[in-house]
Amino acid sequence: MPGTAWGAVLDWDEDANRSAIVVQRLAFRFAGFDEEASNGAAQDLFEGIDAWFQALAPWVRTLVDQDADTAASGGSVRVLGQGMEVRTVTRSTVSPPLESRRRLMVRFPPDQKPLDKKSWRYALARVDAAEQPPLEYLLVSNARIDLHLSRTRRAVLDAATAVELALNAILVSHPTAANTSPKMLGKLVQTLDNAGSLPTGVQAATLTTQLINIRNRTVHNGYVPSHGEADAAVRIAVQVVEAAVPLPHGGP
Amino acid sequence: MSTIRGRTITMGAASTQIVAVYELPVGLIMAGECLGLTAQASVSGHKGEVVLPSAGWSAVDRPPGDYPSGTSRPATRWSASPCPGVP
Repeated sequence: MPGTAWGAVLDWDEDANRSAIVVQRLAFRFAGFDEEASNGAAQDLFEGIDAWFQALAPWVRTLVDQDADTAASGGSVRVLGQGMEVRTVTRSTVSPPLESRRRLMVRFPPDQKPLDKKSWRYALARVDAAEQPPLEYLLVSNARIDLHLSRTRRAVLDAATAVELALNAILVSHPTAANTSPKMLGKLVQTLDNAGSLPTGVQAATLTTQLINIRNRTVHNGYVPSHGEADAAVRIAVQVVEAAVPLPHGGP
Repeated sequence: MSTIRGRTITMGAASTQIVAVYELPVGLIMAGECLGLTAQASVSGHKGEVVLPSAGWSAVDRPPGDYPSGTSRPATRWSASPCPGVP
């Protein structure tokens, strides 16, 4: 499709021969129609394409934390004048829509990685199978969004809930656990720590000071965590979720 | 191809192909290795393939200030290297 503006190169690493591109348009090819059926199929595509992208967005966010969800933008992508169309009108003509030169603004933090081939195919396959990301991942995604937007209370609460679900999943699958009924977060950490079953690299003391204590103060005392405290809570939540509920392709 | 009573018809796969371009409500940030990649997708029950930009596609040029590092480069530098196996 020559002439189609698809996006732009966003960043590159000369030495590693890697680049990040921002894609603004995707092309689709569907075959297997007779001429009559193609009109009906085209109408189906008009009706379904937005829902398709909205199903894809949470997977993209889960895999690489990109703001692909227009309903919950976290601030790294902004679309200027979305829905606005500008034309010039004379007595006899109306121009085609004018294109903004700076319509899409993308902030791509150095610690964020672009969606690679493997993850892209994985996300498409999951949408095709009508699957959603595990709830633990949706919660840490929400926590990241809230952190981007400096909503630190919500970030800590979602991070703690994600950890609670993830650790309960470990407890249920633990072969020697005598009592696998769901537990409160503090008790849960203690139980798994005593059994040596906390995810590799996760320390009970760190979980307690950086997540549980902050969560408890937030819930019970109306405490507003600092950005640094919320950031630490979200980071440890991501670590726990990725270890406890690994995605088949290796996780974000 | 087959001939029935003097009329030539096409056998096998239907001849009509739908090609659609979808403008994303936000930009997806992909690794440059994915240029030209095709992957299976299903939209509204229709199975097909989604195609990422490849050689021959023009790029939106952006002023240097829009880039987080370096200066602007032509996108064709990368579009010349599609993923292996991509036609």
